[in-house]
Amino acid sequence: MTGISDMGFFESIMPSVAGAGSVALGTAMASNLGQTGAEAQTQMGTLAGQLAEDTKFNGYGVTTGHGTASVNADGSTDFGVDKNTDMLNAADTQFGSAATNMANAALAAQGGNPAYNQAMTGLQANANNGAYGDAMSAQQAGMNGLAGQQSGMLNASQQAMTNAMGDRAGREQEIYNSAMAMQQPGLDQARASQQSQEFAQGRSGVRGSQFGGTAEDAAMAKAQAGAQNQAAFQAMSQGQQEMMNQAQMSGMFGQQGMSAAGMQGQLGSQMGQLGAQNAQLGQAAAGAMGQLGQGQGQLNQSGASLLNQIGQSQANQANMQYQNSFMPLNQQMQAMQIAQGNAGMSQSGAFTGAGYGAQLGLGGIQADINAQKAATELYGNMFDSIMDNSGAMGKGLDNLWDKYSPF
Amino acid sequence: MANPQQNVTISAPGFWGLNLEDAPIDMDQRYALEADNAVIDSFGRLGARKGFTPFLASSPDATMAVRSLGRVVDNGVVRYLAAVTGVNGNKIWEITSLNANPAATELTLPAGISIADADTVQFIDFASYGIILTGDEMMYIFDGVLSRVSDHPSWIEPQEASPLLTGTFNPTTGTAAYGRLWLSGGNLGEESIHYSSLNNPFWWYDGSAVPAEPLNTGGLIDVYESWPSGRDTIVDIVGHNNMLVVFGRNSLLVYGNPQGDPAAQGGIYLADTVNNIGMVNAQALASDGRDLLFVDDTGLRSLGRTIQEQSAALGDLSRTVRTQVQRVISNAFSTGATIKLTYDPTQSFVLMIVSGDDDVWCFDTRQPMQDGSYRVTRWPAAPIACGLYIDTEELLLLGSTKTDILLSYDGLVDFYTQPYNFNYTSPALSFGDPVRTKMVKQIDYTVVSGAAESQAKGSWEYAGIRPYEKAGYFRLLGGDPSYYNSTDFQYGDDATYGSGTTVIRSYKLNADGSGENVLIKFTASINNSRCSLQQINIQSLIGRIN
Repeated sequence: MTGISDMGFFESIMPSVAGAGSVALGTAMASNLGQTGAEAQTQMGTLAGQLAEDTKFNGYGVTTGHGTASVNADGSTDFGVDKNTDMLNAADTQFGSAATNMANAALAAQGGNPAYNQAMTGLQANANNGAYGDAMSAQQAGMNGLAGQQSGMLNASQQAMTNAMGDRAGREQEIYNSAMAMQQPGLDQARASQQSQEFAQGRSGVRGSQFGGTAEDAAMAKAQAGAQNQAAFQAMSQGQQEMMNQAQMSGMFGQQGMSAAGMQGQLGSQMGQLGAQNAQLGQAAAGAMGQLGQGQGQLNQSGASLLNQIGQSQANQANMQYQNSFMPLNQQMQAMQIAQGNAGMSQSGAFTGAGYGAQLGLGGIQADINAQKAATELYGNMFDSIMDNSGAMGKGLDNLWDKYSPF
Repeated sequence: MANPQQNVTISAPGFWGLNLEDAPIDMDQRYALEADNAVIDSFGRLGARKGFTPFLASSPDATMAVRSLGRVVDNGVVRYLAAVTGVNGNKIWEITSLNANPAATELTLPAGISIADADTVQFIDFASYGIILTGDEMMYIFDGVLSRVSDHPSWIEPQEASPLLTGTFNPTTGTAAYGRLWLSGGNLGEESIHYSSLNNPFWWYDGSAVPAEPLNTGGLIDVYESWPSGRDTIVDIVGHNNMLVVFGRNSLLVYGNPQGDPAAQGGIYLADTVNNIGMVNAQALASDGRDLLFVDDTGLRSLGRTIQEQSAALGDLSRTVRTQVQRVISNAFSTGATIKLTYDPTQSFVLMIVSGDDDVWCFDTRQPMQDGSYRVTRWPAAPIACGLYIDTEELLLLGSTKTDILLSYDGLVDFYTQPYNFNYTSPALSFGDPVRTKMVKQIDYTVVSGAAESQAKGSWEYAGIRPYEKAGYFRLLGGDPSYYNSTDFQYGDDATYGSGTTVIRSYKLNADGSGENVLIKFTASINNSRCSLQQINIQSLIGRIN
C-alpha cells in the first residue's frame, strides 16, 4: 500500500525531518570541506614561499692566507685578493734596470766609444782636408775646363753649322737688301723716269699679257730683274764667303777653347793628385785611429754585452716576479673552486631539505583534505542512514503515539 | 598813189631745217621755225618723211616691244638680233626672212643669264661671233646658239697672280675694233678697258707669272690717270680714224695706234683728251662714215676725221636746236631714259631717239651747214624706240613703242592707214625792211606731190598780232607724171601722164591783213602721197613806216 494515508503521522513526517536535518548537516559539512581546501591552498602558498626562501642562493665565501673571497647572492664575485703589488713593483724596477743596462750596453757599444769618435773625426778630418778640397776644386776646375772646352767646341760647331746652313739665306737676304737699298734710289729714279716717260707717251695704265705691263715696263722689269739677280748672286757669294770665314773663326775659337780647357784640366789633375796624396795620408791616419777605435769598440762591446746580459737576467727575474705577483690570485681562485664545490653541496642540501619539506607539507595538506573528505563522506552516510531510519522511527513513534496517545 | 606789190620769193623754204636758236628777224629765210614730220629730201627740199609700216609677219609674243637692234655675223651667217621687253620679261629675238614674211624667233638664253634692261643691250659683231652685252655675263652667239663666254673651252679670265675680277665677266659697253674687243663696265670697272686677244673674244689679260696661253695678247688699260679733269667713267669705246675713242660721261680720251699689240713697244698711246664733252649713254653713238656722231649734254656732236692733225675736229651738229635738244637730253637723263642714234645712209639722216619721249629728231647728214651744224627736222609723236639700218635691203628697221613690235621706214602713211601731217612754218619774214608794214596779198606754194590726192592747208600769220592767223585749204594733185624720154610718155597720146612719181604744181592762196613780220605756214596731210615744198612766193604790199 502506497500513500500517506497509509502511513502514520510520524512515519510520514520523520523522513522529512530527517532529510531536513541531513541537508543542514550536509551543507555544513560541505562548507567545512571547501574551507579546508582554501586553507590547503593558503598553506601550499605559504609552503612555496618557505621553499623559495629555503632554496635561494645565499652565496659563499673562502678565506685563505691571502684574503677572503666571496660569491654574493646575486652571483657577483669578489676575489678579495689582487696581484702582489710588491712583486709587481719589483718586477717593474728590475725591468727598468734591465732596460737601463741594455741601453748603457748599446751606448757603450756605439756612441760612447771615444776611439770610434776619434776614428770618425779622423775620417771627417780627411774629408775636410784642405789639400783634398784643393784637389777637388782643382778637379772641378779641370772638369769645368773640360766642360768649357766641350761647350766651346759645341757652340763653335753649332755656330759654324748654323752659319753654314740655316742662317745663310737670311744673311744673303740682308746682303741682298743692302745691295738693293743701295740701288733703290737708282731704281726708283729709273722707274719714275719710266713712268713719267710712259705717261708722257700716253702709255700709262697699259698692261698686256705678253709683258705683264707694257713692253717698256717689261724691259724695265727685265733690267731690274737682271740687277736683282746679279745682286742676289753676289749676295749668295758674299754670304757664303762670310759663312766660311765665320766657320773658320769658330774653329779657331773652338781650338783655343780646347787648349784652355786642356790646361785647366791638367792643372786640376795635378792639384787633384796632390789632394789625393794628402787624402791618402789622412785616410791612413784615420785608418789607424779607426783600428784603435775598433779595438776599443770591441772592448766596449764586450762590456756592453755583459751589461746587456745583466739587463736580460734582470728582465727575466722581473718577468718571473711579475708572474709570481699573480700567484696569490691564482691560489685564491683555486680555493674558490674548492669553495664552489662546497657551496654546491650546501645548495644541494637546501634543495633536498626543501624538497622533503615540500613533500611533507603537501602530504599533510593532502591527508587533511582526505580526512575532511572521509569525514564528510562518513557524515553523509550517517545522515543517509538517519534518513533511512527516520521512517522506522516515525513508524515507531506512530506506533508509540498510537499506543500511548490519548487520541 | 598806192605802192606796188612787192614779190618776195622763198626759194628754198625750210631747206636749212629748223632754227630755234637764232633771232627770227635776222634769220636766213631758208630756215624753218617748224618742220614736223619732215626730212630733207633727195633734192635738198623740205619734204614729208616716209611712213611707219609694220614689219613682222609673225612674232613669238605680240606683247613684246623691241628696244635694241643689232647685226652680227655668226660663223658667216648674218643675223639680226633684237632685245625685247614686255610683261614676259626681257629676251633676245632673231629677226629672219627680211625680204619675205619677216618673222621673229626667240633665242634661248643660257641658264642663269638675265637681261636687266633691254634698252642698253649691245650687239657687237666680232670675228666669227656675235657678242652680246646685257649687264650679265657676256654672251656670244655661234651657230645660232647663245652661250656664256666662260663656257667656251679656251676661256681665259682676266687674271694676274689671282683673277682680276671678283665676279662674272659682265662688261656693259664696248666695241670691236682693230681685231679686238674693247670692253668696260660691270666687274671690269668703269675706268678700265679690257681688250681681248686678236680675233679672240675668249682670251683676256693674263699677267700671271706663267700665262695660260703664250699667244695671248689680251690686256687692259687703266684710264683713271688719263681723264683731263678729275674722275670720269667710261660710257662707250669706239674705233675711229685709226684711233680708239673712249667716251667718258664728261670727257673724251683718244688713243692712237691701237693696232697690233697695244702693250708692245710703241703700241697704243693717249693722243688727245677733251674736257667737258662726253656721251650721255652708250647707245647715243653713230657713224656716218665721215664723222663719229654722238650725243652729249649739249646735243648731237661729231668727231671728225683728221689726216695730219692730232686732234679731231669736234662739231656741234644740233646748234640750231640746241636749247630744245638740251632740254630733251636733260629730261631723258633725269628720268633714266636712253638716247639712241640710228644712221640711215640711204635716207642720209641720223635719228636721235629718246625713250620715253615721242619726239624724234632727224639730222640730215648730206652736207653740214656753213656753221657746221646739220639740218634738223622733228618727228613729233613718232612711236620709235630704236633703229637699225640693213644695208642689203636698204631698209631702216625701227623698234616700235606700240604693239606692232617692229616697223620699217617705208610707205607714205603710218600703220597702213593713219595719215600724218607734214608741217612747215617759215621764220618771221620782214622782207628786208622791218620798219614798214607788210600787207600780204597772195601766197603761192609750189609743192611736189605724189600719185594720190591729199589735203593741204596754207596759212599766214603776222607775228606779234596773234591770234591773227588765216588759212586756206587746197587739194594737192595726184597723178603719174612722166619723165622725159620715158617709154610710156607719148605726146598726143591718150595718156596724159606717164609713170613718174611726182607732180610739181603751184597753189595760190589769197591773203589779207597787215603786220611787220609775216609767218608763212604749210601743212599737208600725208596719206599715200608724198609732199615736198619747192618754193613759196609771197606777194605783198609794203606800207608806211611804223
